[in-house]
Amino acid sequence: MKSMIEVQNVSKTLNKRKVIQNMTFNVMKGDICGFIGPNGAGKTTLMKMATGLIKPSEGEIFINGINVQRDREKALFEVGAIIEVPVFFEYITGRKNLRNLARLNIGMDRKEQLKKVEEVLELVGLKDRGNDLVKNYSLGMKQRLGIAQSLLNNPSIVILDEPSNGLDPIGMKELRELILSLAKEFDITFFISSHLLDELQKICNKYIFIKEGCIKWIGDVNSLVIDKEKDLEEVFLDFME
Amino acid sequence: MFKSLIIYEFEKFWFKKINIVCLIAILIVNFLSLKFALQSNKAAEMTDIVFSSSLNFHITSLQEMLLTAFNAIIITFCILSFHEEYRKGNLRMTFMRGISIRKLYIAKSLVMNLNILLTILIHLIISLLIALIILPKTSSSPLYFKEGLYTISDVVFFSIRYYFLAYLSLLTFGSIIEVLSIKCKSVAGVLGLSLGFVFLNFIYISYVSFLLKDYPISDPMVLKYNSISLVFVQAKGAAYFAAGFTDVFLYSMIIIYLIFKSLSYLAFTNKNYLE
Repeated sequence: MKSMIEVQNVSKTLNKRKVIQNMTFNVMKGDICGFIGPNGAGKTTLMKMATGLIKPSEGEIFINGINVQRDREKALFEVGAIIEVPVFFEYITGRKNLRNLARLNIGMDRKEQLKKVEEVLELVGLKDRGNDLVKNYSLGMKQRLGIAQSLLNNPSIVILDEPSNGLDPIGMKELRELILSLAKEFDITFFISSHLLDELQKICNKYIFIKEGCIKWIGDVNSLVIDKEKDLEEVFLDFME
Repeated sequence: MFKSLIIYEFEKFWFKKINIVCLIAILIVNFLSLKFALQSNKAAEMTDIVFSSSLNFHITSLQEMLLTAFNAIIITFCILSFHEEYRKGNLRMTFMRGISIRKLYIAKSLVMNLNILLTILIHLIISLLIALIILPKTSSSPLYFKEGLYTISDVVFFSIRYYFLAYLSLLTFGSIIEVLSIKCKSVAGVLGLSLGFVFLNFIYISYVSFLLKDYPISDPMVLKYNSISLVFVQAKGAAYFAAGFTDVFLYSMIIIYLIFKSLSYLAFTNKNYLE
């Protein structure tokens, strides 16, 4: 199976503190991989490195076999992402925001870009609200708009940093269903960070547990829950101790 | 791809309502200038440089507003295009796409320069129209730092040079605010440092005039020292250049622009975004 995200011996030092320590793992094609750790564990930092926003102090990250640091443009060509919160222009419509961002789609003419905008709005369930100003969107709708922008460039990998932050239970359920349907219909690989374990338990087939910048455990769902009476939270807490 | 980046940046620029307000403000600025010109004209002769007519109002009004209104517009443009987008996260979504950040910066800069040009051209057109309709029509006019009265062809030549250096001074000021916008963590910080920069310029001019008090202000050495002050260039340097007195202001603006543009480029394309 093809490795979509390959993290090799990556470390990152910020303000003289090593926030990521010698991390190595792979996310394979078709995986919905949960990246789990407590606040401050280094989840966002690793995701920022994977999306080329910051560079590792040591080690290398490959996306689709291409080194992100050496060939950023090529490596990120098929990547869609939300890091921290998606930020849009609040006083224009969601559709206009996406139409503007669609201009960054290399190799698509304007007609195709506009078609793509309608497609992703439909996918995230915002087609009818596309002409509303973003300032009038709920947090859940903004998050869905964020996912819509991450799908604009037909990504084969989507990286989501705490996507369910601030969502109500209905919003979380909708997000979960959306991720599952996108993974199934479009064969998209997902790499999702969260500290909401229950959420990830329902969608991920693979987990990476981290604490203080170090990997504590990597594996698939089946190899994780040895004792069937334990839920993911209990297992996670065992690893964190 | 580059064309798409230009359109992407151009659209974003005009999504911001404050930028549109800035453009509308030029009309108000022109009317304020006109009010001032009508008052000045009452006490001035047609041969006086302060006398505004259909031939020179576009120069006198720009001279009055360059240091104040136009610099304020530049600060607004830069804060919205650089500080807000870079610091608040709009650009994060762009940086994560498979596009060249270097090309994105060039596109952003070109769009900014184009919009500043548009702003100054709108000022020119409005001031010419206002002057033609309201101010006295004359066939000749005095020009800054030039003796006598000049006909329309001389005024056109003077205006092109004056507007060119005024535009270059705005680009230079913009490049300084760009660096501050990327580096500062808050809007208050950008505003404070921008105003501090203008204030420092005034102190520098006073210091130069104190040090070289035995020399006339139009002495080449005094002009050379003053040429590194953006405030002096906007207040008098552009007119000295337009009058053909010296090119030192042109060279200093180009050098300062290139220095700050390079710093801005390095800050924008930093491989550790917001770290």
